Amino acid sequence: MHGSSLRLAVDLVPEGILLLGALLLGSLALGRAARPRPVQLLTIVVLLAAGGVQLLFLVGMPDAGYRAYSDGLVVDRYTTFLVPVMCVLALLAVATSGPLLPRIATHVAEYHALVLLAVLGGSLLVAAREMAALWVALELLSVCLALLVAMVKTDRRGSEAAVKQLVIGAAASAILLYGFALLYGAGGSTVLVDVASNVRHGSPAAALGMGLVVCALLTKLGAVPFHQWLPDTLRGAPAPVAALTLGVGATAVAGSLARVVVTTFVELAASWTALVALVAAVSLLYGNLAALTQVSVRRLIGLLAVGQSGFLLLGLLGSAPSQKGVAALIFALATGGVTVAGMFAVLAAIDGAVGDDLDSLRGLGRRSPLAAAMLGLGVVSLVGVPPLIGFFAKLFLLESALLAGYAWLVLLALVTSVIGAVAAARLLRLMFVDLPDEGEAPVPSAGGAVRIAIGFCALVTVLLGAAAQPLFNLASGGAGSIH
Amino acid sequence: MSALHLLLAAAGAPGATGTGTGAGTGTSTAGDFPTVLLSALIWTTAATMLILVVLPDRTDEQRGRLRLVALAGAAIPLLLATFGLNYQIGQDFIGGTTSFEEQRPWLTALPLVSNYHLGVDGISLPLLLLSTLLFVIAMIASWRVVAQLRLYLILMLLMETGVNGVLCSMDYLVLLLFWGMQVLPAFLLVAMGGGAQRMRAAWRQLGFASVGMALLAATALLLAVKVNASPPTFDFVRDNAVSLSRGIGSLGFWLSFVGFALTLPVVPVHTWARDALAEATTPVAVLLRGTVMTLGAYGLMRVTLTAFPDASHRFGLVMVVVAVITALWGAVAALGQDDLRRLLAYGAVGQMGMVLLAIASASAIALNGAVLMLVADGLAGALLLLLAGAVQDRTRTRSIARMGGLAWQMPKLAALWVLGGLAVIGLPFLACFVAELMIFTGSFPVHRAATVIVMAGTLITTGYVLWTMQRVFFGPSREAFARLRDATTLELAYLLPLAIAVVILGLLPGRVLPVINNGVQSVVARFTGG
Repeated sequence: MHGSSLRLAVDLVPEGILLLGALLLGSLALGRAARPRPVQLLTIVVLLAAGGVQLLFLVGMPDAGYRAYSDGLVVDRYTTFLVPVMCVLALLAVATSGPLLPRIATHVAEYHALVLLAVLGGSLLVAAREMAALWVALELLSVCLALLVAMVKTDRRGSEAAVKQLVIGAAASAILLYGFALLYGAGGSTVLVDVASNVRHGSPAAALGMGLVVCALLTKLGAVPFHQWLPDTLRGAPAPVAALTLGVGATAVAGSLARVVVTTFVELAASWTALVALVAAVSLLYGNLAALTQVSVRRLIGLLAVGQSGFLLLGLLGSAPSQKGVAALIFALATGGVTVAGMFAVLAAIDGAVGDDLDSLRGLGRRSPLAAAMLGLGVVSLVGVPPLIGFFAKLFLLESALLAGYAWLVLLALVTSVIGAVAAARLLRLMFVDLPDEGEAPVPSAGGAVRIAIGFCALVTVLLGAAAQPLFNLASGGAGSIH
Repeated sequence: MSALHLLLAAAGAPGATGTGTGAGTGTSTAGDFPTVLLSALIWTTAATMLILVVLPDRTDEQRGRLRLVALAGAAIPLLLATFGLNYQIGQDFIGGTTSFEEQRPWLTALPLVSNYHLGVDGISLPLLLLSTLLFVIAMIASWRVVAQLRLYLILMLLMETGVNGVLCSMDYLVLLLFWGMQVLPAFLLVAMGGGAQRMRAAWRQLGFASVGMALLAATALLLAVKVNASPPTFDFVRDNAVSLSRGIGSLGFWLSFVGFALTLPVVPVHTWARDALAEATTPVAVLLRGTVMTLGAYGLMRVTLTAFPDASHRFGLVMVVVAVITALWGAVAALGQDDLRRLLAYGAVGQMGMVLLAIASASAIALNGAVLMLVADGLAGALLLLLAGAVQDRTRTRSIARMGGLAWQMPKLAALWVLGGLAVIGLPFLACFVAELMIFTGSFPVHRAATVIVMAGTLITTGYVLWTMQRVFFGPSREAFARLRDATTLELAYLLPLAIAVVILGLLPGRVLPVINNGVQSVVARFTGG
């Protein structure tokens, strides 16, 4: 299976397309300020092409996938599920960037180039099975996201959030390197599969290394107690970038975490499951409880997302093939990403007219029904109320954790979902029951692209439940290929 | 009816290919029957909702159109349910107790299998008729609503989809999906209009409903994982009783019992119903009382009794004690209320105590009575609530002490109130009489003392109903109310059908009882066999 250089080039065509697109946009940035519309279109074409080509790989793919770069990168069904998902999520973010572009008029090309590079980092990350490749991909993703957060130079909150993200991210990277160093010492290889076979019987160094790697990736995911950067980033970043962080960022990191854990650490499950279970429990509790008292819309969404990341970890606990936890995990990433993208598309559309505190959403149901509907559907789905798509995602995760024997965690997850539902109901009440304040300016209607994106996300959130099975089959096939 | 039959056959023809015969006990009553009936019934309201989304609502004329479309959307399920029940009355349930069954594979590749499995039996059909009727009534009673009309109608239709769906589900996961569909609309409907304390009532209701929802989710997961079916499935159709261990049975019983008892509601978790029924607008209160509370009782019969028969038997005494407390507390508290709406709310809670007594006894006669009681009480209670709303609109107060002599100004409303009140206290030839009789004769051999106490409670009910009637409508005419008008045509349009239904059900309970009995028998068989 060790590919020739030609084979390698073919396997990485989607990544190549992303890189070429980024370079092209980067070169545009050298000239005078680019016009937004063609740049946006080019980005969308690149994303569609990359995602489409990746899907073509599914035809005739061997079970073990194609391996490039001495087994360091694997293009299997898992990668092939997650990369198109990330492309779609990035596409949604790009489509909703319209209202943002005038504020970064001189950096339009750079902005889109960074988005493409972030997706590139994400797609390499989910394919990586080797320490160096994984670290480089993760850094590419994190640095691009941090730069995007700080894109609006005049926004102090954005700069502050970016610095916070960079500092915490750097600490996480350092921890990751420590972990890798210990694993390398114990296992004698940088390829994770080899490490797994060498440390089969475990050693304190390997166990510690493993713990550090998991902690580092959990930090990048934003799980409690490593979450401090996430709500601030969501609040400080422009809305499309926040969507990107929760969409592409979380998908890539959680996808990578699942791959690393399943390929490397399955033999030593006992040493990391306790950690993951604990983090999941704390994330569930903190995210949903703290959401109760939030006054900022974006922090509210951020905290619900933190709770959601606790849910995602349930999938890791039920990661044995028969429990389908990893399939549930990537299913939840894909569907949750679209829902969150829709919510941030709304926030992007109403950014000028409506502030960030919850009170400014008062009566939004009358001022802008489409926006309010998507925002309402989004929180309700995130909380997991049936029959919206978020319910199915949570159901599959709960099933896998239950089959793995984590009944207490399942109960806790249900209880925290109830708490989350109350937080969601507060938002619903503000938007649909309360009357708008006197003299509130009407919300200007969003541009066509934004509206299409919002409509798409709303449809997916409401209707995909009926077609949950085919999508889950895809996810299941993907998850099957990493075991 | 034959025209409708043809229409259904035509609509059902393309979809009929996917119909399955049930894996276990239930099969379709007739092979040639159009089996998309239940899907049509459930999803008509959802489709209507989508139509409402795109219709404009700026002028009065446009709003009128919205109302008509919504009413039509709610009327079709009523027709379908009537047709279904009527068809069933003519049948003898040959080959099984479940009819109009639809089964399509849905989530199959998961660790746990779930099918889109619908079906109705003698327990759900009458309740389905009740719920569809009440939604039409509520739609007409909301004719004067103007504020946020589109959202209001959409929420009502969404709630109806959820309620009807729960009644038709034959799969725990599908049931859970539909159950969740009615929780948030109910919250928003209570919050959108009504008394000054409505936000408090709405929050309280949502709190109880979310906890109930989570408990149901836990029950469904427990059943799916712990029952040794292969592959593990959420489907109702399998013999749960055989493979559950004692501990798991007890756990499941408590999870589901508490979950449904919150919705029923029972004392001491009845506060949401008291507040919501008092503070919401009358149509919404009617829906909460007639459909949501009914779902609690339905769940107890369908899930708690059926899936955990052993544990229900073991903890029967707990249910009886709760039932007695609820029945007495409801009646006594109603006696002490000055607020007309709260009085009716407590009355509703008391009646639910009677239903719970029947469920706890799990005797066939009592369960028949319980189903009949849910329908009868849902109708009579709705009539009283709507009348209370009409009176409240006119007198601008909910305080009974400040009313009196209203029969002079509004004889029609007074006459209807008398009819509803007499029905609630179980006068012969009105709706609740047969139901109460069956509940008491069925429960008495099983729980003698409790039955006697609850029967004493009905005396209190009789007392407060008659006393309220006297205080509100009779006595000397009051000067302050001299200009009040009697029932309008619109009010009669939704009050009279209810009144007629109350009378018909009282005169002809024998028509539906065989159907109900057929459904009840399968529950009882599970209970006594396990």
